[in-house]
Amino acid sequence: MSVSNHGKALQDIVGGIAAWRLWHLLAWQEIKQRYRRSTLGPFWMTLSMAVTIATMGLVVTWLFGHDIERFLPYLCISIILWAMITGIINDGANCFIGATGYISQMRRPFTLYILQAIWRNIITLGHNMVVFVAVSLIFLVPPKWTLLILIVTFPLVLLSLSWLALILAVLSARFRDVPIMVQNAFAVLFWLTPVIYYPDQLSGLKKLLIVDINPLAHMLALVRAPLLGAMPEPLDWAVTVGVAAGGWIFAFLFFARFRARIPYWL
Amino acid sequence: MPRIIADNLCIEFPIYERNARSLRHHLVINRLPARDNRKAPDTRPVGASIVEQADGRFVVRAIDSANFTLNDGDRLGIVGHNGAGKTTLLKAIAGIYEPISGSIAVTGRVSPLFNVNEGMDPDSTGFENIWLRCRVLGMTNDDIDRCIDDIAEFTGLGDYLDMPIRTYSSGMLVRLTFAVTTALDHDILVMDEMIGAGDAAFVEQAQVRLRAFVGRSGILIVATHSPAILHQWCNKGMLMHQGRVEAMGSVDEIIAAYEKSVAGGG
Repeated sequence: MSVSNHGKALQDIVGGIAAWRLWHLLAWQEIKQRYRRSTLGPFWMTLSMAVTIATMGLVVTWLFGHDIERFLPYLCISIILWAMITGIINDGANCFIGATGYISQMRRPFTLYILQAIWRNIITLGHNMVVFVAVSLIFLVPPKWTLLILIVTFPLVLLSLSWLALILAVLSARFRDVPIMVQNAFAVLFWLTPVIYYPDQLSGLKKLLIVDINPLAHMLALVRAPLLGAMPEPLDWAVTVGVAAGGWIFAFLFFARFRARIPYWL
Repeated sequence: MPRIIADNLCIEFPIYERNARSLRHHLVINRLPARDNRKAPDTRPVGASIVEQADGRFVVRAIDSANFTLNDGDRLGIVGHNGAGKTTLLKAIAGIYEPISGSIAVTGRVSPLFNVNEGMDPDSTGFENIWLRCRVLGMTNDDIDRCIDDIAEFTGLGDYLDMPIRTYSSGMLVRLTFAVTTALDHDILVMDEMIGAGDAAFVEQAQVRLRAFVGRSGILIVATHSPAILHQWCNKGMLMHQGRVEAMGSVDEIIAAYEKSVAGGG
């Protein structure tokens, strides 16, 4: 009974991770339910991603006169990763609201639902990566040793997104405008992050604002560069590590303060 | 040894609706000692008390200073009008709502049974849903393998277990969820009024199972409107009114008090 709020928050996070069987199951269940009885099943995600990338790739190449062999793989992986980033944030923001039934049925760690949202987006990423592999084969992007660095950079990026998902999930439970605001904000950030253009197309102040101080640009680069055969820049590392560490300290204190209130808001 | 001690337990739900102002108006009008005091809050038979806090916000006081102790072997039936706080009290015991003030100390693991549809996938078969629900309740693969035959037998659904559960009646769903929840080797079973949906044969079968459960020195707590359930399943009763524990005692005393309050309060 005498466990402090911080102790309970820590128990929640540890318990959430330990319940991996459950979030794994629930994440798959959601994807299966969405595509049940359709012919392609979850590969509908792959197909719609392929069509998006093909269309956008052609239009943007015509507009900017890019070299398609270099640009299309870049665009492909950028869009796929951006979909994961926004998916984790948007689904994260909605995860407590969506799990109202589960939360009011039984006491479970709240972080379970965050992990479920993250895991579902990783599964989606897996389906979408089929498109990138196909594009790499068509445009002969050879796999390089830089891929190994993903073992570190990918979890790091997840860590720097998950704290924000947790805070937004708590806020959204209380203020129902938050998930809508977040969705709109990320629709705008899509244009303010180097997703469908190269960072080096910008210079001076524009580069400073859109690339250098934008954590999303660094997270994107941290996973994108190794897949395209390059190493991430030191600044990508520094910003992402900073965001992950600072964000989690803040998120932990925030979560400890408001955790017990969540069921009352739903 | 399972045990539940509630000490001045209070649970309040904040009201965040934008028309909280009009609610204030409504309550103030109704409290005026005037022409129409039929609606004065204190004689209202239904619902919990609505309280204005110092900061001008309204809260619904769902549980108001509850004090009680339950020990192993207790089979408690909670009765009261709609909105008297029965379900909230069950959810506080299950650890879903942490107290606003006061405390509730629960020793032992709680199996909750509130909503028969939660964690169920209508398009999956009965067997798949047993598996799903076992997992949702926190069971491991070994646990599930150990009990699945027993659960399947207890449901009495036979070949229906291979059909999607959207073809089930509500009584059949109750059989399924009841079978899964009571298969857990937990110490405290908390149930909302839903057993009524099963047919007479099932209610009898369920009673045998609950006897066995309480025989293993568990605690059973059930919220109900049915004196028959109270007689058959319980050895203690509790009458709730507007969030307060009005009386606690033998089943006969509580049924008498409840029937009197129904007759008196209209």
